[in-house]
Amino acid sequence: MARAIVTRGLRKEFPYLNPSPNMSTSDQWLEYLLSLITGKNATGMGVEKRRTVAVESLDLEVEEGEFFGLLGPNGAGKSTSIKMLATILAPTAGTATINGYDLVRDWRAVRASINVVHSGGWLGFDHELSIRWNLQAWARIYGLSKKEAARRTQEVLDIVGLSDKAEETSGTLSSGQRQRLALAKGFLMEAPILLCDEPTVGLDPNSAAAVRSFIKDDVNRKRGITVLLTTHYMQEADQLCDRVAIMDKGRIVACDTPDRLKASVQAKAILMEVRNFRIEMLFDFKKEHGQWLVTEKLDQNGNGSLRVLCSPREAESTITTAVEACGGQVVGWSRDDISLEDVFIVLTGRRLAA
Amino acid sequence: MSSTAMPKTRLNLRETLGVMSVLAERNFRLMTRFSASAVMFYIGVFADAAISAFLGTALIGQAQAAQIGGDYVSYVIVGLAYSQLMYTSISAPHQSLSGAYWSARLEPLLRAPLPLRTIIMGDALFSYFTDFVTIAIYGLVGILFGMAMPSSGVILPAAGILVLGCVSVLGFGFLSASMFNLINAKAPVANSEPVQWLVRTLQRLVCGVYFPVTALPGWLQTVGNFMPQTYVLDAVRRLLIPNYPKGPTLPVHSSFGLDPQVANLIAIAVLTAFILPLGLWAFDKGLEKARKDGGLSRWT
Ligand SMILES: Nc1ncnc2c1ncn2[C@@H]1O[C@H](COP(=O)(O)OP(=O)(O)O)[C@@H](O)[C@H]1O
Ligand SMILES: [Mg+2]
Repeated sequence: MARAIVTRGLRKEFPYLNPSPNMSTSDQWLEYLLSLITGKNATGMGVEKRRTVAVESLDLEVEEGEFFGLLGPNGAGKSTSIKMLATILAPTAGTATINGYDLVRDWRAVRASINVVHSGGWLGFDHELSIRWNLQAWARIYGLSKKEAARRTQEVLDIVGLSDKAEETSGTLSSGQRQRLALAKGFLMEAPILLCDEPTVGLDPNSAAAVRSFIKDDVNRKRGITVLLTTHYMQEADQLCDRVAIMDKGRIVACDTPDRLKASVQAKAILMEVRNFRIEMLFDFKKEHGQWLVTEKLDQNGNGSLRVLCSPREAESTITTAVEACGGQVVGWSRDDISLEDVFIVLTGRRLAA
Repeated sequence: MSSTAMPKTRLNLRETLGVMSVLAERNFRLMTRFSASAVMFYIGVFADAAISAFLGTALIGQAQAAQIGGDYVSYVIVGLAYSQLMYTSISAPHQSLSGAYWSARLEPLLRAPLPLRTIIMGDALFSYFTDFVTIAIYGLVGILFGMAMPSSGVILPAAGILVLGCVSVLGFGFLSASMFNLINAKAPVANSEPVQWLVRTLQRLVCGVYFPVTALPGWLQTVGNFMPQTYVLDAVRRLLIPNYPKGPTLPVHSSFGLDPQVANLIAIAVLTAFILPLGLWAFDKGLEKARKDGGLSRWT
């Protein structure tokens, strides 16, 4: 099967500038020039010459028609990766082909192969003008004739279910509708690949579910469009993606189907039903047993549940004893499924000892 | 899905003009949402023109007026009208780029199948249209103050010089826009970008908008020699003001022994050939830098 996206050692470094090139006050340029000349910024601090490595080395292979997820916490380098693939940022090193075209050399063909949707996609709409007018204008900027633009706008409005809002302005939309508007804008052209950067961030559960099912069912399944989606929601990746690359600090730490990723984890999760396990006891418990990853749902009286991620060799009785040693009572326990969240924690090795 | 919405890698001329027209239409639609401020703006223009004309009639004697073609009103109205369009060329590119950036439109614009500079120029088109309203108001003030009307035969050449002037200072405009990325001059405040501020200030001071450049000390005249606006304003006054002096009026005119009007055109051409490529080159360099530094997109 043909590969829709291939990246080899794609890397992005940002110069660490102070002031940052994304901030602005009226006299920022003066501060910037002075800092270049004197090596100091306005507060007299030295301008750091170090560079931020946002993406260390990205190696991906996404098949045509695949729903591929890039899962990682904030700052992992997901957006930077998407922006490089969208030709907005120049890679510092590495190569990539999209739809068979070289990212740097054939950037025009790359642009014509992708649609891009991100969480702030609705921001670029003129709030003074109707949604329909905005979409038509974008379609024309992307090269459609007036007639084509009008027809295509109606089509995408129907697809995302916003036809009844077409004559209103984007300011009147709910956050879920705004996200669908961003999707509509991302679909004005019929590109074979969709780059989707955190499309459900900040949405309520219902809106998020609607956006997810739209991308999964309408875009990926029905139209066969390859989707590269970034998210920091573990369930979203689990639920939607054929394959997931787990990203941390600019690196891919694992890449496989969600099921295989979860199966690969050498750990088990145990839910302990506890009573009278007060906050200071929990503190002690966590301190003494740093090898376990503990998440808790406890009320003020210390009643509730503990979820303990531990080595598969660990006996449940060991955990029960440990809770009791700290002063709590265990009233029952059960096994819990391993989640992609657990996979992430195990792989990044921050909490759980191997 | 039908195949007409297949993404394009490049746009042909017709499609490019389509993009420009939709950008102009957008600006027009946005302006009509702010019609009160538009009316206030034009009343301000009227007042400014009237102030200059009153100053002229009140303070300038017959003797001085002879140097500038008989009456100061014609002199200053022509100067103001032309400098207005040149201001637009100087400030519109930065304004357009910074507007796109701050309203989160820049990234999607960059993915469009045509160069950003073309989009920037399309965005500037509407500013030129509004300038024509400004110019009409200047004309009206001129008529009210009894300005001598030019013959219809000079309209076409005067329009030609207008286009020439706009194109040649557009190089300064793109140079100004390049500073958005090159030195991080991102503030969306008019005239806050230093290149734009400098060129606009110099234009008013040394290019002969309000008074002949010969009134300036020599070193300031020298500065004016390097600005196309100086020649544009002189050239257009030669066309539009019937009694404008026929002999040399600028330092350069006497240097080469050419007909002053021919010398003007050559000077404009030479300066444009230098400034416009410089501006476009710097603009692309700025984009290149921002693609590397990550200065194109606000953090998300
Ligand atoms: N334009 C930029 N300039 C400088 N640093 C940036 C820029 N964009 C992102 N970064 C830095 O790169 C890292 C990765 O950011 P990002 O790709 O946005 O992560 P994610 O999308 O996974 O949350 C962060 O440390 C961020 O601060
Ligand atoms: Mg992000």
